[in-house]
Amino acid sequence: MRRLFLLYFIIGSTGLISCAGETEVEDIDEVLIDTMAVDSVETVAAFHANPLPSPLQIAMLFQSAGLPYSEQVVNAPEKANGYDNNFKALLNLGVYSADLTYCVLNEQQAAAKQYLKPLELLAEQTGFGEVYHHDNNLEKFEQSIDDLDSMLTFISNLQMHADHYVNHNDEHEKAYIIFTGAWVESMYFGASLKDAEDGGAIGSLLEQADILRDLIAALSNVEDGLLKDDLPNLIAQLSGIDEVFNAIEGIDGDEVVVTTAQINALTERIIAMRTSIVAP
Amino acid sequence: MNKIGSLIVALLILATGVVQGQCEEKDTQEIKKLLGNYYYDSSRISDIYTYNRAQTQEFKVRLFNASIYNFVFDASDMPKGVTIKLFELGKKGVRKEIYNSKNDNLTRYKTYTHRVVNPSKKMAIVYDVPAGTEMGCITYILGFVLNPEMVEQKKKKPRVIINN
Repeated sequence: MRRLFLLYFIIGSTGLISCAGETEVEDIDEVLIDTMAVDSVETVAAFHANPLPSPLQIAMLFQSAGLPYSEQVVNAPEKANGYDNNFKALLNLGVYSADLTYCVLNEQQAAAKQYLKPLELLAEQTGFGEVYHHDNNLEKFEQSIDDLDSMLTFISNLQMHADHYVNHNDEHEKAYIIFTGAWVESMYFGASLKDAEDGGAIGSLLEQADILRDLIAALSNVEDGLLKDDLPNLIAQLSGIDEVFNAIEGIDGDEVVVTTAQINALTERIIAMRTSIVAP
Repeated sequence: MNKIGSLIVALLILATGVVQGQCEEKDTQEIKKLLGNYYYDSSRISDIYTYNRAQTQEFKVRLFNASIYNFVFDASDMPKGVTIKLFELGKKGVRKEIYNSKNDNLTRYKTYTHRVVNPSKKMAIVYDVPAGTEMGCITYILGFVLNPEMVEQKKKKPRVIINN
């Protein structure tokens, strides 16, 4: 199935807005088609959210900054059975994906293997089972579990299959929720395990500020009625983190000056958000 | 939307001469082949419309300077006349063009590719579509690997100053 577009036609002074086709996510900052149309139609524009980076890349960046491995920070696999609510299941599908990646990057094969079942369970519960069953993905993972390169390639391919599935089935809004879970989990690893004096580790946390802005923009345009009830709280928590980022001197520049109080505030908000996500 | 609303929209589509492009999802095996040794990061399919005026399609990506990126644009369904451009986005809206498909040749896989080392934090991908271009599509795929030199450099000299 090919992707469909949303076209907004802003008609003269009447302010009537109609749409043809289905929507992806609006992002007012990113006008895709910048064209003047004829007479009664003033503007034709289509909106998409910016592509978000893969959770694998984010995890690799955190690891490269020197974050150690700790089995204390990952979410317990057995908790997967308790996420009955679809929204929670989507978030924790992202959380467990990040946990799996974290274990793989730290060559914790036995721990990584424990996340296959929870991932399969939550993927099936949320309609993403096909991603994990595609091409015998899970079996292949178990077979390559002792080879780091193969495992990383597996995770990269899984992301590719997931994006393919999302595009094919127009499930972008659910994908943003899953990404949120994975992003918060990676931030949680960074916030929990950083050395407070280590500018490299702190830098990895702070360079996520731009991603957060794109994520909030994407979530703010979610229209799925089944997701909408839970979104305001999720966005409010992310906005709380964004608020701390925005108060940091030079956050968008080449040199960032951050205070210990700001690092503490950031850490607290990330931990609070992650705690609420993984609670059944 | 009610019937009158639908009719208005249908008439507007006809009046503005917009025709939706056609594009199929790339098979994941094909994407792997196009990315080579890079890990998959993200992708986007952009439809090209037939339109009676020139269009510019644009989206932005956030990048990390500890990664090396491989930008791949599958042009197998890209209509003639379309130009792909990459811009580094600096402070105060400064845009620096770093790639233009007019100055490049298609690879044997009918792709345009551009490798970026030490990228700026934000880049814009722009498709310039002349008036009357036939419909089609472009698939953008981004691959990455970590840059060991930059990882080491960041460890030695973080860009963060911590004030107690």
